[in-house]
Amino acid sequence: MTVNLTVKSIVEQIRAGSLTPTAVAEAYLQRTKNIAQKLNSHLHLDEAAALAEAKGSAQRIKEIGADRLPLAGVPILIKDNICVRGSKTTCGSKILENYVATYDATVIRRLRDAGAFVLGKLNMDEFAMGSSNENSAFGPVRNPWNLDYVPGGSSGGSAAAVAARLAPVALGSDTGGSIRQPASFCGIVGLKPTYGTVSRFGLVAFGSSLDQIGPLTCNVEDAAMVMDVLTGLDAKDSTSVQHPHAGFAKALASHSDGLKGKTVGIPEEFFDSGLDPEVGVCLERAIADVQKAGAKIKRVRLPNISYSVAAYYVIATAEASANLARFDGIRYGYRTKEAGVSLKELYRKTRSEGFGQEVKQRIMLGTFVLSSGYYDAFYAKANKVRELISRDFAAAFDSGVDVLLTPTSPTPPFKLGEKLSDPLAMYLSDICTIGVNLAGLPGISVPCGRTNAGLPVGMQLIAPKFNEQTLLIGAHAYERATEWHKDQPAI
Amino acid sequence: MNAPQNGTKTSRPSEAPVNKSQESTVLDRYEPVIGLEVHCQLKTKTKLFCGCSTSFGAMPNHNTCPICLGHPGVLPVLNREVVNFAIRFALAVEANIHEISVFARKQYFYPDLPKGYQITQFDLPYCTGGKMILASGKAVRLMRAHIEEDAGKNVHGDESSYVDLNRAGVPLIEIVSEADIRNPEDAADYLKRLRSLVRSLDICDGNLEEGSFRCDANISIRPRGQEKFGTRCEIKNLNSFRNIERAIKYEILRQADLLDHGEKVLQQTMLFDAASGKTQAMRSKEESHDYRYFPEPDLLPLRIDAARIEEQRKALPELPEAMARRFQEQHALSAYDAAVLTSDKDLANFYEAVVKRVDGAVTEKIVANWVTSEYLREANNRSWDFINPPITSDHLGELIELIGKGVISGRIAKTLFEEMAEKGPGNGPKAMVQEQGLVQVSDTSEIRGVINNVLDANPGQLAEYLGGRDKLFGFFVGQTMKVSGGKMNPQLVNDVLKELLDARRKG
Amino acid sequence: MSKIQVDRELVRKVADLAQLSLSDPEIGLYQERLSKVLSYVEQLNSVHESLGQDWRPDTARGVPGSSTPERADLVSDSLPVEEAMKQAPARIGTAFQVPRIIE
Repeated sequence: MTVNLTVKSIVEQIRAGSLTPTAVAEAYLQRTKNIAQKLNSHLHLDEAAALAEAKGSAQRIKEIGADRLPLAGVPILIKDNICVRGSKTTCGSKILENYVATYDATVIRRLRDAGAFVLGKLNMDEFAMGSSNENSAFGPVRNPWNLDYVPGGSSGGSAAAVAARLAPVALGSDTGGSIRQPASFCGIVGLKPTYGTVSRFGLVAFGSSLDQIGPLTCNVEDAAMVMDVLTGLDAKDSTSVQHPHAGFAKALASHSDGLKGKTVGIPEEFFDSGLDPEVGVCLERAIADVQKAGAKIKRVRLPNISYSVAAYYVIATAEASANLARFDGIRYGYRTKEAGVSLKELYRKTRSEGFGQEVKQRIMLGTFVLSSGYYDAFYAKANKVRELISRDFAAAFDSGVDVLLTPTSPTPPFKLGEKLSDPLAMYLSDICTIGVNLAGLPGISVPCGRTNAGLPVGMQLIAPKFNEQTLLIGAHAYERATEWHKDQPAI
Repeated sequence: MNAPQNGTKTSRPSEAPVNKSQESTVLDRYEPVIGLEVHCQLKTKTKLFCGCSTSFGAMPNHNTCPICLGHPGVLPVLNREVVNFAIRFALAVEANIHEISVFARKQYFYPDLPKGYQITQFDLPYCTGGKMILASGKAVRLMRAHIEEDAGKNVHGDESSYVDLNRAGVPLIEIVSEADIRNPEDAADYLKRLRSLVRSLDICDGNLEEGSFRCDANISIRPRGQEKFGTRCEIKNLNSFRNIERAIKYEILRQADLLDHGEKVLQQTMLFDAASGKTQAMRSKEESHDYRYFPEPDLLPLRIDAARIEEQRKALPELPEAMARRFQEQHALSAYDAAVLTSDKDLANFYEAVVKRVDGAVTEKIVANWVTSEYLREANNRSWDFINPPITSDHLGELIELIGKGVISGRIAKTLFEEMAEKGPGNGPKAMVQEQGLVQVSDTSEIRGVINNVLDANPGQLAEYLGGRDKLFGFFVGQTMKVSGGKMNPQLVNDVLKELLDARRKG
Repeated sequence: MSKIQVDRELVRKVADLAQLSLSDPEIGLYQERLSKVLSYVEQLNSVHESLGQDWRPDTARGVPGSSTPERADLVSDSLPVEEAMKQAPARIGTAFQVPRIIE
């Protein structure tokens, strides 16, 4: 069996009886053995557990019938900040090195109910804080297109694994671009849904008001199929909502018009001097292709978008500083090995030894912006700017724009170590994606070209809240017109 | 439960090193200013944000789940009943219920706080204002009440402490009074009334010992006549009404002593030690806290609309004050009796059940006397629960009815009651009266015979009486009752004795 | 608002609140990095916002008019206590063990 399979083709072959979940699992595990080590993409690959999962999928197919299971026999890799009961969930951190999840995230339950099964858990930037996957306590992930380059982050393991075809789909999480930017760096599709679309129950929180789980896939159709399963109101997540326009795969199939007659907005702020020239070339060509596909191009402005990184680093770190307070070495997780310490020392040594540098930096930043005397100037102000940015997006859409088109990242993939010394440079690499999280909008990254060095470049489409359909239909039309998604790294 | 009796304990002599005369001279010079913060555990079945049971007394950590243990990735979902209970409280104290309120994270590290933050309400609580009226008629204004989650419990050993998170996440309302209270007695009265109120509302079981009703007191003093408040101290760990009064009294003297010696009161958190009766500054609270409150991103704002408030208004039971007024009118009781009986809703229900059982055989006042004296005393000593007490309202009603119908005397009834309290009610008072042959003698010829024997057996006293010492009448009554084992109808004994003595005087 | 000076004292204070202990070289490192990020973040102060006094981020969350979801007061299974305890770094019986707390 070849593993160059899509979600759609697996489901079709399972339904036709020409493939079994176990055969699928075995084929991917075989391929993974050779490649995962090179990429350092996997944190936990338990073959026995994966095969048991495949058996569970087979059982479900037997009971319910493959025709009624939208993801029958589909193997899924999971970013290691999503809880799978009984398996380790480390968040790429030493502080959770041996933590075994005590429950299943809602997305895991939904995927299994749909016939899919968990194949393994993936490397990531520690607690999803990073844009290069160099912040993992378990070593950096490498880009399958060139092992000297970063795969992006924080869902770097997810993007690298799917690009290397170690699974047809992986789950990532996106707080400021952590699905879209690595998807762009690895030449695959990554979707960040509207805030509230996918339950966060079981996703280890980073920035609670920003986090969303989403799929990374090889093409838009697969993303739609997985989104159909992930989407749904969850009583366990108070911020989850009933999506008013679900049924994405069906919408894709029934919409042949694609981009025809649509208005695509180009926010000028993302095409300024900060844009890498090679990325600029790819984007200009993409805009031309979109136009060729029948869309109308409209230049728009997002006047406050340049403040998005500043607002984001206040809000996300403030929330993270509280979210990460539970890691104290008392109930689970790492505890300092030093004996005879006081309670205060226990806390401090445990947390200082358990968290990596970037995480500590962000905890301190978040602690500072909430501390007495600074709250109004930082946290309150950042939230007002967040509202202004949301309104900028709303105004752009109100002006008749159906989707916005931007680069996913202002630069192509960079080399390992290149941006580590400058925290600001790293933060600014999320400039194109962060505003989408602040405004709670859906965004998708699709491949749109390669640099001279052969590294992937992605473009981002952004739609109004709950307009994932528009996003997917537009991305799908572009994908058919250009076929960048068919490129694969030669690993 | 073991109820308003906690209150009666406050009248016992204080063990605190507080000297009465010292106290009164201090209070002549300084005016205490007291504000109280009360944490009421709401008696919902489940915790505030997860489905774990709130039952008290489980083995450590048996009522926990990933959510209340603060495992990674969990999220809170608000318990509807908590909001309903909170609304009922606000209605009962006539507070303003806010259409929109917001949950916030209060951040600090402590082993009993699994997430490193407590979900509470900060600058937008669900209600503000309201008041409680004290026995003195004085009103204590409420500043606010808010919904929050409880922390777990730390138990301290010699070298280690142990953390039990069964209580972590149990719903609380924190009720904050304005600094309107001016003496320790009013502080205790406020708390008793508040406790009685939340118990009547059936939203909190008000158990101080188990910690379901907890109080912190903020106390400052100022020279009489001065308007500006002094520096306040907060006292924690006040787990009985008696200790609350003791702690406040001690703290007032401590602060006065500092001021008298030209020293300053430091703003501190104090811990009350019941054994020594003293307050002491908490060491762990010395470092200043910066709680870094911010809106809880995992919950949306809470909106309470008018329809919901009206629905809860309809669900309000009769509140203590209204019940006391009704008792005065309907049962013809004094204000005092009505207040005692309605200080606890289960006691009030018990009283009304006895009245119903007695069915007019005696006055309601007599029933009230029995309940507030004999019954409360035994209930208090034996920690009875008024919902399922060993001597039920039927037993007590039957007993009182026997007096009313003249079957037994009050004295026999008291003896019987004590016996029932000691050994259990057996087959009930009627059966006991039969078995023990305690039926009251109301046959005048039998009474006449006994009295004549008594008079003949005490010629000296009889002579004195006939000589004009009327006081000896009581002596003869006592002797008659003694001889008859208390079984004779006391009224008839009185009448017959008077008749026979008059006859002998004439004769 | 004046520029924030991130000095060693501020780093120490923040680390203290966050229960982190930093070595001297680490204090220097974070002083430099936090300085850089905060001076960038301070550009927020130059944003002219016109949201009006009534606008609050905390009440503006969620769909307008919606309230946080509420669940029924029904007991669900707690974690088996062994599962709640088995990852504890230190325990005694079914309680979590920590160094003695001084009150």
